[in-house]
Amino acid sequence: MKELLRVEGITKSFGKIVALSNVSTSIYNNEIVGLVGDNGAGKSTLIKIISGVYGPDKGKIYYKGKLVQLKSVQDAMRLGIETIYQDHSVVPSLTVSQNIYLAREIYRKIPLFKGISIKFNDTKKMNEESKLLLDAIGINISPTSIVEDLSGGERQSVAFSRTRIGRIELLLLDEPTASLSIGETERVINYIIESKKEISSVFVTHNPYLMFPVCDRFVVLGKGRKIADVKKENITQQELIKLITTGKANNTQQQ
Amino acid sequence: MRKINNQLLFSLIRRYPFIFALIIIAVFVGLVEPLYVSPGNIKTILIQSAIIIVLAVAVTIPMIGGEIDLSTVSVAAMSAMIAAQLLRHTGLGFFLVVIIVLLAGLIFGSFNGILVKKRIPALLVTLGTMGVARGLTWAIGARRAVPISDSTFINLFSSGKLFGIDMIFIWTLLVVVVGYIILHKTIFGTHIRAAGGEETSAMFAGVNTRTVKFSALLFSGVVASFAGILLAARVAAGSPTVLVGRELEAIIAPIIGGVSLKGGRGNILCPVIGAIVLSMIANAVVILGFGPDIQLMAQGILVVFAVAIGLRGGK
Repeated sequence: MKELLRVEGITKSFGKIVALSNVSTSIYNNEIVGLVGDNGAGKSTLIKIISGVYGPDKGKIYYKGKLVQLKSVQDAMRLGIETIYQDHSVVPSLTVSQNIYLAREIYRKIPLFKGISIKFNDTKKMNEESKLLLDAIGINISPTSIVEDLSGGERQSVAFSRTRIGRIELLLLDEPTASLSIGETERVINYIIESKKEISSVFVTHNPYLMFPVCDRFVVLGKGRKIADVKKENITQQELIKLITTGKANNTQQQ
Repeated sequence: MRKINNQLLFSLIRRYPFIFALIIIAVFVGLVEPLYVSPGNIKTILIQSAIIIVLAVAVTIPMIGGEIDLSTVSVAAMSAMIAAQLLRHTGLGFFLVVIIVLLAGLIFGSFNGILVKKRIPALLVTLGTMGVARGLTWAIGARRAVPISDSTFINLFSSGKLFGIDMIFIWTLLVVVVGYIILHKTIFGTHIRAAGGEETSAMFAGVNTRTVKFSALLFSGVVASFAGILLAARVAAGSPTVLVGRELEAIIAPIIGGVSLKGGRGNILCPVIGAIVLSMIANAVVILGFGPDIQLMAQGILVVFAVAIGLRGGK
């Protein structure tokens, strides 16, 4: 399999707390990687570094073999890296289509003076396109609905639709099912599995029972360090849980 | 049919409680003192509202963006004083005077914006600039009021008429329209509501929330200084004591109208409704023969109600 993204020696501290220490791993094309670990393992920090929210203190990021600098979320999006977060995937007070196109609005530019222009939202076009994106994932909600009136599952559908605007190649999912019902969780899982035909995903969750059947490989973090990087065929679900809870790996799991 | 109408009425009351407050005040005070709803008095109320509407629009943009600007009233007073001094002591045409005054607002707005961008709480930053602007008003006026005798300036920004409408209304309407376009039609407006509604989500989506807040405070400073121009023309002077004690009215008006103090929610009608309600109360107090004690208490109670309704409805 061809390598899509590689992080090398990533270190990140917040004050005196070391969130990540010398973490290296790769994501390959068309695979689903489970990024697992107990609370405070550094999973969310690694996701935020790959998605451009934080810059690492040390370490390098390669995308399709090229060294890249992800200084902002927009930088990551331009490469094709999209992220869905548990609590911060949507702005509740905005409409569905405003959320889908947030920071990537379709606009009409009206010039004011020389070189100065105002960007007006093309709301009609964004509503039409949003409807198509929502239809594509089988969700029947109005693009003009206010997001705070939607259920948890519908909100995540809006977040998933967001990721389909750009040229997505890598989907990062940070606890995307944490606040969803069983039915809504199943829909998200099916979406991740379906997406594998076209893209790669990194799936972060506290629930190993949920992620085990879905993922091809597991990267286990503990207290900011990489404990194991193991393919699914080389580990059982129980062994994975033990690995997460004890933070100790054997030789096979260290591959 | 009647049930549907009742439902519609209740939903309208829930959504715009202070439009109904406005109607109730008008009916109640109008019954006690018919003079209150006479065309002449309604015009007085609207003229009294105009400058507060402009200041409240200035406050609304950063407020929806999740930041508060306490300095607008003082910046307006300072701007009025700058305009008065320039018109009195320099041969500058009023167009140049307006540009200089707007630049002063721009400087204050950028100063507020830069510090807020550096994550210093807007409440503290703008409390400071509120004091600085008021101090500058005293200093620029050499501690006394400076009269304006330029009738072109006064006519253009206050008492002149266009199609039979006072210029102060035309300018106020223009500011409201500009505010509407910015908040409801532009990408910047969407980003303001996103930054105020859920800053982390907006940031994760790729909105540069710090720059958005900076720009919102910049806008606020410029509009506040424009309110100062209207104020100077309205009272035909720059005064160090103008609007002293009324600093919070510009903040209260959008809250009364329905803007969430927590950010993210509200529209451009909110500051307009809020400012008119405040002026109606102030005017009713005078018409009914009460003193400023009753006015302040009535306005205070209204703010508590507005915030309570806003918090309960999440809006």
